[in-house]
Amino acid sequence: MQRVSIDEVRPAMVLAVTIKDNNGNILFLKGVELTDRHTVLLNNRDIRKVVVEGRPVKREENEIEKLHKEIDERFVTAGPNSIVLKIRDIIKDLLT
Amino acid sequence: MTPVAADIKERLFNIRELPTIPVLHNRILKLMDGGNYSLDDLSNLIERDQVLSGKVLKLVNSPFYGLYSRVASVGKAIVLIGSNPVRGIILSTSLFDIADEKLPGLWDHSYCCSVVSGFLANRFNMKDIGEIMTAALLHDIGKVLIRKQLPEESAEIDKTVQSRGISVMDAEKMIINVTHDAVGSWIAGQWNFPPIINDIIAYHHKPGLCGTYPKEAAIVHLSDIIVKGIGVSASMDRAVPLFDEQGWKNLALPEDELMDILSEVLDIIEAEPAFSQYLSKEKR
Repeated sequence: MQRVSIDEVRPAMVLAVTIKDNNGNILFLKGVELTDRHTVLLNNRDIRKVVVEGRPVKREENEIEKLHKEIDERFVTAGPNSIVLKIRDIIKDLLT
Repeated sequence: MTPVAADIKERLFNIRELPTIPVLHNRILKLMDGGNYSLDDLSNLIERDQVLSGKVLKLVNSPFYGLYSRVASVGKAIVLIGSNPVRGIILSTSLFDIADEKLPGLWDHSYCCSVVSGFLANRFNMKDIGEIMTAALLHDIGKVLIRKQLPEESAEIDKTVQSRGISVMDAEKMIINVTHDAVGSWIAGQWNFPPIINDIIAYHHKPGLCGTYPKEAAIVHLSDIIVKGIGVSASMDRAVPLFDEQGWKNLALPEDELMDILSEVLDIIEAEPAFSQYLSKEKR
């Protein structure tokens, strides 16, 4: 999955995480295919970033690699438990 | 584990050398302890201290509280966040003034943990959200005391962290044979913190062993891991703490909710300007 800013959202991207407003009310459920209409609504609600399925927006490979390495290094001391490794991998995905 | 060397113990736990709480802060704490005070009395005292007022306003305007308009009055802020976080801010301000010099970034890390713990405590429907946020703000207070009382050993701890790539906790064990969670719990006792805050500080690395407040301690433990994982941490203290399996089990959080939670946490952290310097490297 990939966390993208609202300006990067293009029609047919699929939400990977349910979007809530500041009060915790659900705006759009995960699995929804985004359209221009969604983007307008999200902008109005001051939502700046959303998480979508796949990696639809191209990023600088070197930067991603560098950041992933940095996050891996931070987590060396966290131990081998599968949950903490999952936390690490989600953070890697969300930050790139 | 070999016992803590007598001279280290003496220097670390020397009550006469303990940082003192400023007179004004003490007056505020006493007023709150008495229980019978007016909001005006409390906000008037807090407003006399600019740093304190600034921190109270910063907290109430943090994304965690999700308010639509900015709060500019200390009195209104206290009504919105309650008196417990105010107590945490007062207690931490006295010690963290020293910390900013000796461990740059520790205040930001602690503040970030407090906001994330508040979000998680809300998610788990905990009743003592204010206390959990206060404890998160104070969870590393032992590190501050170690740096203040044992400057030479602290330099050694930092050197060991750098050269061996280990956590501050492991380096503390090696160099002084006592760790900041135990030291923090000791100072919490000296300053008469409530038991819930003392226990969370004492068990924030081993929440699974906490008898009375296991879920509360696990929330701060998880926040610490997430916040360090994202990179909001002191420059000399970047390593993510060892994950406590029993603490995680006590939270009973379905694994498939992790992504939603982490994504929401990141939204909250990014919305706070104070944390942007830690995320700037991640920005494209």
